[in-house]
Amino acid sequence: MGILSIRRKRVLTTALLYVCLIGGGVTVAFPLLWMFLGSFQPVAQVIQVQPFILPQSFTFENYTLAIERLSMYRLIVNSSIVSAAWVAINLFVCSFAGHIFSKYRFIGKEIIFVFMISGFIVPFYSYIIPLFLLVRDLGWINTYYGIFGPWCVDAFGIFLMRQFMHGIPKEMVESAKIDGASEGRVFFQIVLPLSKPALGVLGIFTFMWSWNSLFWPLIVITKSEMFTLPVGIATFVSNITYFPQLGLTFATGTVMLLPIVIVYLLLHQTFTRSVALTGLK
Amino acid sequence: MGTIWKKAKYQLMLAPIIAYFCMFRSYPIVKSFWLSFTRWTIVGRPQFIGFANYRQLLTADPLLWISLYHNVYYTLVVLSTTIPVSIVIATCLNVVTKKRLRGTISALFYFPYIVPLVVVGVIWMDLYHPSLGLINALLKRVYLPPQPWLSSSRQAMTAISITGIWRMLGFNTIIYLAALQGIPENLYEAAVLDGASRWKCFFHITISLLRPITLFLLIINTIWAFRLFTEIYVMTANSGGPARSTYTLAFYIWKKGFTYYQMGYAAAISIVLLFIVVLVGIFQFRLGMQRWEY
Repeated sequence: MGILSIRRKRVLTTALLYVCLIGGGVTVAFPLLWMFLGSFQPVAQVIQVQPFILPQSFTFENYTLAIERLSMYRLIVNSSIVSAAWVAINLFVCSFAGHIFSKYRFIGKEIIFVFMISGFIVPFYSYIIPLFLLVRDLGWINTYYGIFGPWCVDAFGIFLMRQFMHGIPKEMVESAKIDGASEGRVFFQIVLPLSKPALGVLGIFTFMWSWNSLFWPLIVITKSEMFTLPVGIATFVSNITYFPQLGLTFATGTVMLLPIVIVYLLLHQTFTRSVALTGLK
Repeated sequence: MGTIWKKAKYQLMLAPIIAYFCMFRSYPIVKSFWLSFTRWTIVGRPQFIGFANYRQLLTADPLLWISLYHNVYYTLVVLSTTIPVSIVIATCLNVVTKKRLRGTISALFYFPYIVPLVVVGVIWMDLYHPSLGLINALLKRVYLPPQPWLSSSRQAMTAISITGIWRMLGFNTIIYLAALQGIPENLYEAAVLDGASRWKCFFHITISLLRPITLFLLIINTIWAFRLFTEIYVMTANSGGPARSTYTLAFYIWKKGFTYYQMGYAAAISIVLLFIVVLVGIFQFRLGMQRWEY
């Protein structure tokens, strides 16, 4: 150890550290790369399972097969509609409620807030059955409403927006009111534009939650033409027996993963910061 | 009319939202309790049977305890692996000074966490495939025997737990990294001046300061682990594993309620789950808060 100078030792340690870190990161991300690359290979080759040989051919046949056999186009459309509606309603209602909780004092404010939070604490498996029965009685089975209806307003979003809006100075709201602005104008023209970061974070969370959710849509949707993407994939996968049809599952998996990755790459900073902020979903 | 609005303006504005919560949260929660005291299979009316569901569930149903055991097993495996490892990774990452490089590497680790659970299940189901999967292929390459993984009742739950590790490692690492970056440099400098070695620094300063975050992560990871469903559904093709070796509480509720339509019994299971989650949460919180003295 005396041969290496202190400086050399430090450089070596740092280099080793980097190698381990990068190696670890790549190893962890590798299964996703496997799926992505495999989705473009003809089924026969995916079967051959050569982990370290570069793919020799490139084909879209898995994707066309998925569109034909699994009506993947329909799945994507359903998922997109549900997610869009869910996120839009969620952002609007949660920011509205968050604004009220943040800026105004009124009787019963605490009680109402605690009431909402308590609904959030209970694990949803514990009330999923009566919720299903309720949705059934409302006639929402096999409809888009049924999928996002019970979930598009949630205490988490309200809580998040409230916390963020605490940072908007009360004076701004009050001076606008003194100038004669109505509640609506205050909300839409002052508070909302200032809340863009929080809306972005909430939007991402809600989008991910809506895009990925399996359990509830699985219960509520029985007709295959109304399936969302996760339901379609899970149903397909649970119906095949021994031969796993890797290419097809890879293609569907990649399609489902793609929007998430795009959102992630575009908003990576917001992601990690928001996780550090809340970490609840 | 105008005075009512003036006096209760904000309550009225929130009224639709409150009604929404009453309808879609409170009412189902209450009704869940009620349902758990009935026998009902969707057709006909529910029959009130008192505590019979609970009696059978708690005394004559091994599947409840097996499911609970699987949840606990999963939690322990994931936590015992990811917490120490992610502290180590986060510490290493903290050393990396170039922000972009650090961001890129942490993004790589974090990536598995954002993958939809269905896709996680699909990927790992294929990875674990006995003959076509990558894992067994790699094992064969290094002359180790290929394993049955998901098709073995002894290995299936462990296989799913490994998937859980893969998924949560990045999440825990990012949280720890954020916490570590909040620790001011001069704490370490002061300790070094006082003569502490590097290892002592690490253990006494870093670990103690990370205690609140660790508690937070323990609670969050446990809550999520008790929700384990999607991976089970996808990776075992809705079967719950060979010889029910991957049954979890949530999966059991699903099976009883939506495959066998024994709604009353499933409601009872869900209430038991509620109690378990609340108890575990309180227990963890108490345990954590106890030692947080400076």
